[in-house]
Amino acid sequence: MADEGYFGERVAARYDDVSWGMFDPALLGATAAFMEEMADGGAALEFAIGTGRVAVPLAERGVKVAGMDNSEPMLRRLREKTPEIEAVAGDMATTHVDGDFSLVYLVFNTIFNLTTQDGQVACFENAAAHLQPGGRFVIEARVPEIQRLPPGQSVLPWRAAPDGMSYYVYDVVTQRLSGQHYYFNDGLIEASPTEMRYAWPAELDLMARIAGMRLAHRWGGWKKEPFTNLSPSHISVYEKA
Amino acid sequence: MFFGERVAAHYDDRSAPPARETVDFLAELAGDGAALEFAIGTGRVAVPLAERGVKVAGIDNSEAMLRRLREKTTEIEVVEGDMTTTRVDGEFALVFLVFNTISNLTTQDAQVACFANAAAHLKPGGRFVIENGVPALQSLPPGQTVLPFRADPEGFSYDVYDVVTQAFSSQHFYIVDSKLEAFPVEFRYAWPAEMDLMARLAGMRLEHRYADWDRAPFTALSPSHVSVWRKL
Repeated sequence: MADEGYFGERVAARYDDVSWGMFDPALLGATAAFMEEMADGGAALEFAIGTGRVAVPLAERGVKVAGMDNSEPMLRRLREKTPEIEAVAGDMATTHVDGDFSLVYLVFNTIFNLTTQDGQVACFENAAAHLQPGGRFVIEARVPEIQRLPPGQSVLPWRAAPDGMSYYVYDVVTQRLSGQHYYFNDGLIEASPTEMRYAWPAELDLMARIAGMRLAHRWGGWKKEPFTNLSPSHISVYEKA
Repeated sequence: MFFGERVAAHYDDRSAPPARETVDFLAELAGDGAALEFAIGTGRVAVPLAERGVKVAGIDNSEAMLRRLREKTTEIEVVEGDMTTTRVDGEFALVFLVFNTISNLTTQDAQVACFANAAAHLKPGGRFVIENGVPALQSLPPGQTVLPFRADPEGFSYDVYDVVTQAFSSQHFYIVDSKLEAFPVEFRYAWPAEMDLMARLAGMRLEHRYADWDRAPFTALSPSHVSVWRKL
């Protein structure tokens, strides 16, 4: 791996500890139940599987799960947890995993880690290439927070805690989004930037269309809450024709 | 239908003539080829473009608007129809759709079809040009749906947004003889990046994105964009 980027050894080592609520058992239970239903008896492939936050509880429900991730340190953590999940190092825009899948999924805004529209389109195409006809691609992503960003402003504060702070820096022309995270450690400050590109739900729908998939559902949460004008994120289900 | 007889009768009085830069820009892209205007209306842009010597054809879904155009000139071939499906004979170097009119198509499917129809009229290497507002969501705080944008002695206007469907409705009110006349128009906004994918579905790629017809750079504060896609 030429560049492990944000998810190198340092982040991988503490990924499962810094929870920010994403390791909440109730949330993970709902997520895994949702994915089990979407897999509909078939096998599932997780893009950006990481340390297996979702894949491990999904596999525990009896769903056969495979995955890919571009960070070898994250995959090492996953392999320490279970030998049941086949996970390969690779790029979710291009890497192919053998198998026949009824579900591909990509959660926690990770589509935005691909920093160009071309890269995101390629990811949708790669998802579709792994799916059987009628198979589903599930994406969980933030709704771009442009309504909180007055005209001319580019920086949004996001977190301020005793152990650090975070800002998001927006470029509304290119849709680039830079997460600037800072951590205090032993009186020193550590900067941990991550580069992203945000995309609108309607834009993702056209990426799916380019890849031969159509939007089947859009929900506001894993329990199929309605998606509304105040939903901070969306769960979108695309079906392959 | 907004562009009926009542609006057509006054359209040219209430709309500014196009800037010279608009006509220059389009004439340059047409080159020696022909140009097709979607939603040609009364010919606000098409007439001065034709006067430059560019062969211009057009489509509009309002017969009332087209009657005004035909009163002005016989040089421009116009067809009454829907810009998502209607075909005009000929092969064009340029198709253009200005003044936010892509937003008059109120579904994503229809907007995608409009891009496909534009591409179907273009020869390889031909260009599709759109002028459209950037969705004003940075002016719309979370939870707010109504954005006022005009208040003068003649009346007032609001845009009403649905950020889930990207539908928005422009509610124009005019005071006429102390009575209020409502002119609602239904739209769907689309992001510049979303349009780039509509173009891609139609076999076109973004070539340029400017803030205006003068080719000023498109920036975070640009209220609208002029985008040029090229057919592969």
